[in-house]
Amino acid sequence: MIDVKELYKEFKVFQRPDGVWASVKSIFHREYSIIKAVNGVSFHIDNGEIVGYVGMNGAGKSTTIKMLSGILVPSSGSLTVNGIIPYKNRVANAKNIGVVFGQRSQLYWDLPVIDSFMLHKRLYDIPNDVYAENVKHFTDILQLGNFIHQPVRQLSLGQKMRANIAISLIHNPPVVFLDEPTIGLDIVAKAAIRDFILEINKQRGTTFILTTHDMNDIEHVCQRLILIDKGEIRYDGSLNNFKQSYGEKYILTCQIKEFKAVPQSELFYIEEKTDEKKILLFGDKSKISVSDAVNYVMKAYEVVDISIQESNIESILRQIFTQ
Amino acid sequence: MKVKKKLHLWYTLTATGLKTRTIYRASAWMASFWGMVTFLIQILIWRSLLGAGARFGTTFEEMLTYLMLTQIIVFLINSSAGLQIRALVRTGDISVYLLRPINLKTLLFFDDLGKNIFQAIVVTLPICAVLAAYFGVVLPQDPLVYLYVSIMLLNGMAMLFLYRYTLGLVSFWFVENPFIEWHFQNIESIFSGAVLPLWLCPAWLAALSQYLPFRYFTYEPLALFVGKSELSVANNILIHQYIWLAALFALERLVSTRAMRKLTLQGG
Ligand SMILES: Nc1ncnc2c1ncn2[C@@H]1O[C@H](COP(=O)(O)OP(=O)(O)OP(=O)(O)O)[C@@H](O)[C@H]1O
Ligand SMILES: [Mg+2]
Repeated sequence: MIDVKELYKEFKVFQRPDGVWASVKSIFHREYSIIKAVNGVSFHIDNGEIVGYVGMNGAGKSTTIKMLSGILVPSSGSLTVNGIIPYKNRVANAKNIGVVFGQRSQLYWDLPVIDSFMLHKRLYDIPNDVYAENVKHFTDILQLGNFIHQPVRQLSLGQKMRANIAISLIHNPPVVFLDEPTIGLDIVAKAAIRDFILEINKQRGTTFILTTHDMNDIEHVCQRLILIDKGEIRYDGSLNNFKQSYGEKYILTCQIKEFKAVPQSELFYIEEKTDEKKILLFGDKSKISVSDAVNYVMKAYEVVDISIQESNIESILRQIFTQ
Repeated sequence: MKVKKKLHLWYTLTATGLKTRTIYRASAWMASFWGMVTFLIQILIWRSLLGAGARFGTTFEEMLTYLMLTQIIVFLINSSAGLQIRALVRTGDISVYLLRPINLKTLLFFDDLGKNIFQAIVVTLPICAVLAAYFGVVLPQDPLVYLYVSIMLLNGMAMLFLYRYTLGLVSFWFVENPFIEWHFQNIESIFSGAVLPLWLCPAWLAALSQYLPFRYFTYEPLALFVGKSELSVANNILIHQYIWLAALFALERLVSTRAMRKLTLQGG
């Protein structure tokens, strides 16, 4: 379905000098540097998968999505989407995919949302019944009804995003790329979009690649995670494996009556916060279970209160990227 | 069936272009008003220059017809494709256009068409109706002239669009330096007779213009219309137009295929 091999994209960036004289000089001679936005990325995605594509700002996520969409030509490497090479056959590829760039809108700014839908009906040559059904269906679950006849420029961020997600799926594409579809949305809108993705995936077997900085999106929606860092892939596999392979970590936070000298163990690490009368126990399930750790502190201290914080993708990612 | 679908798509694209314009009715009316004022000033200058009789081989009536038609035609076959591409590249919104399963050229062409139709109806026709009623115009008698002029204008429109579009693609290379195209736009307006009819230009400029495509956009058809050139050279002009069309088309293909490789999309 989607096949990416040794994909590279480099950008030449001209240095903008400070000062007037340097600016004048730069007209004749300009310094530039090369940014390796995507640096040898390979992956394979099957029909019907929902893949979370995750990484820090500037990691190369959007650049990858743009190449998959056929609007950016790779520096080298090979890629196919549905057997089509996107940048060689942009128009054919465009018919097979739906794309949302969270930062941009595909809707005509001055026209009502429904006008943009109509234009897409013609552009993608959508049969009348399919079009009518999709508009009705999307209007229901994404609740577009209130504003579908309003000009786009009057819509709120969340309304615009929902309309953009709807239009990207209106031609029933087998593959959909969502680049930060939940950016700036409230929790209700986020939940609606997550449910929508899951439903479309179940109904139609649509393949999704989703980039986001909200790890809740990933936990709710994705089965698979691809982690990209400085243009290179750091992890590619199931979400569960990801959590396990990076250790199932947890933190116990205990309020205690008084401090005692407690020997450290190799099984965990204890940090004492004397002035707050607190201890933090950093554990790892592969070494000691949560219940054993709780037992241990209950014996060692007189515990007033205890809370357990299990690791999630976010905390694991923070560990990986702050190392 | 396929043809019908294509036509339907083209119609929708044109209608969309037109609709996006209608939002700015108020500003269109203002444009109409100021268009009228500047046009009136031009006419008055020519009237005082030409007086009652013919000078520089031109009568006031001919000049008036030429000016008025230039107004109509320039708006009717105008193209903002170049400007639009440049703006889209700078903001990165070109990516949204390229996501659509259609040639960028087709998309922009029908967008232009929609805009032009709106512009012609709302801005140009009212101005000209008023002025023609007041000053009067001379119209050619021979129906063949109308036929030739129509064909030439269609060709001119295709040429102008291809030229501006190709120029817009050049901005894929010069994201940081928009002035390159600006020079070309100025060259275009001088050599196309938009600033001054070429029959009034210095001989060397008129001679140079023979080797450039610009005079075939609007000047030649208009010159035929107002009787500044003869029907006998009309076929010759058509041949020139087709040669230039082929050349511009080849250039566009050449630039297009390279442009996509060059395009670096701005913004996340
Ligand atoms: N048109 C461009 N010209 C120059 N450099 C670019 C261009 N587009 C992207 N880059 C650079 O490529 C790198 C990757 O950018 P990209 O937009 O793919 O990141 P991202 O993973 O989507 O980040 P974010 O989470 O912030 O959206 C960045 O260092 C960016 O500065
Ligand atoms: Mg991005």
